Amino acid sequence: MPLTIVQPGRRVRFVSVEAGGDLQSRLAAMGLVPGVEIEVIQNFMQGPFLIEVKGSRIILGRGMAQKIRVA
Amino acid sequence: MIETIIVTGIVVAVAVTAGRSFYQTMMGKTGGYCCGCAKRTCDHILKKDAQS
Amino acid sequence: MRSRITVALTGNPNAGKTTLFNALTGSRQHVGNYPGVTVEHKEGLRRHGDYELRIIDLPGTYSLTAYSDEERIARNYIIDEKPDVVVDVLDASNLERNLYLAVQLMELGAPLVLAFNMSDMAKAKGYEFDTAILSRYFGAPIVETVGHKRVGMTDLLAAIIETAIRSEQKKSPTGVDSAGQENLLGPRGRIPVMNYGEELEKEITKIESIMSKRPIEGKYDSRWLAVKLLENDRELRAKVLSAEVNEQTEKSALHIEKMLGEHPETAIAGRRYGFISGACQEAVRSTIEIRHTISDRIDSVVTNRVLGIPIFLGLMYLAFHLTFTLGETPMDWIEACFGWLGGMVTIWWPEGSESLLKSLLVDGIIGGVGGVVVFLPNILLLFLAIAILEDSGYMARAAFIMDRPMHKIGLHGKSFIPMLIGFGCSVPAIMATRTLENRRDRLTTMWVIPLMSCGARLPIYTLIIPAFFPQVWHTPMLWIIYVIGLLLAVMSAKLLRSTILKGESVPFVMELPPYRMPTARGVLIHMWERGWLYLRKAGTVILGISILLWAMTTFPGLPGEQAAQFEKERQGIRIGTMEEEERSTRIIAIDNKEAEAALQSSIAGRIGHAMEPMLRPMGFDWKIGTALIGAFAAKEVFVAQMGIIHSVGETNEASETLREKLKKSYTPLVGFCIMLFCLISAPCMVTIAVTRRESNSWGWALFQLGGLTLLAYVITVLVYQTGRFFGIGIG
Repeated sequence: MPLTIVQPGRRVRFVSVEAGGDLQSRLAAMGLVPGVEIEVIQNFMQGPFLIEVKGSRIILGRGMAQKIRVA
Repeated sequence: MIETIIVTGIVVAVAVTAGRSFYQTMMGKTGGYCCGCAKRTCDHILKKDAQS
Repeated sequence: MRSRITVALTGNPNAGKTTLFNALTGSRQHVGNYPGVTVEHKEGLRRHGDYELRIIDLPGTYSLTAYSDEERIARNYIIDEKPDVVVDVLDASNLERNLYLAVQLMELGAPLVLAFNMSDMAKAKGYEFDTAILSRYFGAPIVETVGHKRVGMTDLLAAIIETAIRSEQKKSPTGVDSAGQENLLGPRGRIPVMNYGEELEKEITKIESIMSKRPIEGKYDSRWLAVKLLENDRELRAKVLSAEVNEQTEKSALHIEKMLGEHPETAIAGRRYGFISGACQEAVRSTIEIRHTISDRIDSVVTNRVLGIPIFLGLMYLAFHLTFTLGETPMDWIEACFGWLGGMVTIWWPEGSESLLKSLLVDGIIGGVGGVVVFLPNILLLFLAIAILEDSGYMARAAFIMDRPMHKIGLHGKSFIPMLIGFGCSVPAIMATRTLENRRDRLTTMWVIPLMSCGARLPIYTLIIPAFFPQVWHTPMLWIIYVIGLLLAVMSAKLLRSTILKGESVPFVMELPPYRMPTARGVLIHMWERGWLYLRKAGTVILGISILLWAMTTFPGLPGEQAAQFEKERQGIRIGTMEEEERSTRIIAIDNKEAEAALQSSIAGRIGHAMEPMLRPMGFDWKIGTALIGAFAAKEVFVAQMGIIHSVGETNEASETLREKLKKSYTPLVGFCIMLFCLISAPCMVTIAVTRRESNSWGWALFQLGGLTLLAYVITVLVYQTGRFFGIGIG
């Protein structure tokens, strides 16, 4: 499922992201690799998205969050 | 009389310095003109700070 | 005899690199909690024992594959300059993610030292590290440090030197150092190499094997290069000289995708994290399970969808309120000092003397510079507020809060951070745009940054607001001005993005550092630096310009016949039969008229008058005009020149303050328009120069200069004319 529908407080696992190699690498460098656990902190249904990955907090633009698949 | 000389001297000196520094700023040659912003991204403050 | 060692400090943004840099080099520099503060590499020196260390603070980066200009700078420095030692500064409370860079540095073969910084926070979170084991994994000594408390510095320095020595020896045939100790390096005498798993390793070898002596510009370790190429590192792929290598890389990439079902970049990243995970499982123990920290709780309020923006605006308001209330007394005090100083200097001359030197000193220098220095308390307080907001980590949240509105104008929250820096000074703000990966985003943000009213404009507002508005309106007025600036910035950005800078925006990803309690020490040091720099600016640039403006306002003076005319009038009064009191009042009146006339015929006066037709629609007179011109050098000069021009045009030592004089000459509407114009119009010349440098385009800088001034003109005229039409503020 896309990350955007996950409610705050839930934990999910990162599966993949629909994006070019550059973006994938960038996300990977920040901790987002397949299999990693993500906790959703803020999700306002609109606007940016706040998650916690490997101990740090990351802000994602909504467009970004939509492209991320989790399970 | 002497006052006029002093004053003129000061004004001219300042004008020359100002002109030069204006030119340098615009051409980016100053190597860090300090704008007083304390963000320390200016090189020349760093050189000064590089004593320890 | 001293040996020189070059040390590069690298690490994730927010890991505390710069604090560590300060602790090592003893310099007191500003530390921000958000990306964009360190944008150029900074150097410092430190002596330790027999060695002299040249320490370089690189911009933060998450990986050796660079995505923004900042990261490129960091990465290229390490690869091209090959420093003697690379210190990776890690946030120990976030170890796994931070180690991602360490793994890559290890693969690069850089002489590495790992600094587990913020180890106090890690301990507080319950982490315990077996550094001996981790050292083995990464082939580098590990030092636990607490940068902002300067803990662990000696150990760090020792490790740096040890690593430098060892790496020197690596270049010699023996793999054993002088003390006969077996070093940390693996059996090959090389760093422990990461194993990427069968499939990837196969492809890596394939690529490596067809690499000739010089497959690419520059010298790189062949295995490292092969991995990077497979990872699709843009810069490196562009540098490849051999077509075969490229071909193989493509083939391998496709093969990996087929076999593993994911892009090579992802696969490689995954393996790296696997390695890290493995190492951490063995060597890191967590004793407390912390789920909801204070940071979280604060964030849930502060980034709340409804409350977020109001809280932000509210904090701004609070900051301004403090600036006015706490600043008032010190300001009055400084003003009194300068008044006294002026009086003291004047005494050297006989009363009523028209000495040039006296005028230069009293009107030009004391009047001009004094007028600016008087605002020191306000500046200090404003920057105190900014420092607290920054150091606590709130500023990063601002990016999050503003992301949605920014999105609507085609920018994203990340652009907001340089804009926030602009509240202090536009120069570092423009430089901070280097964190934006997209050039169009960068250019747009650069253009609008001056609209975020910078610190130098504060004296203008603090001069004018109390002059024209009642106490209860002070803070609201200041707040309104800043908010207008913010709104205009946002609207202009939207306009730019939908017309000349159209284009897609880069997806937004940014890390949010945890909240921190700002240390009193840090904040006060910052304030002190700020104050000192302000005074320095006053004593140099502003002093210089004030002198020049004074000269322009005094020369050439009244033409002979006019002077004679006035003298005749005075004579007339002296001879005549009047009361002593009335006589002196009349004479003073004539003196004033004469001074006023002299003013009009001065260079500044003439320029001002020539400008008048343009100024009238805004409600400005020629005096304001001259002040505006001076403000191009530095915004504070506006205040200085207003001081000068109202001082030179007076003959008696005025007991009136500048504010009183302003109130007499202008209406509140004009006062507001002055602030509006100063808010919007072109920034100081340094800012324009920096825009040119950062955008690499004279055109863009001039567009900024012209565009902002035009915008200012149009808006101010509109406001003034509308105000006059409706009779607002002209009472």
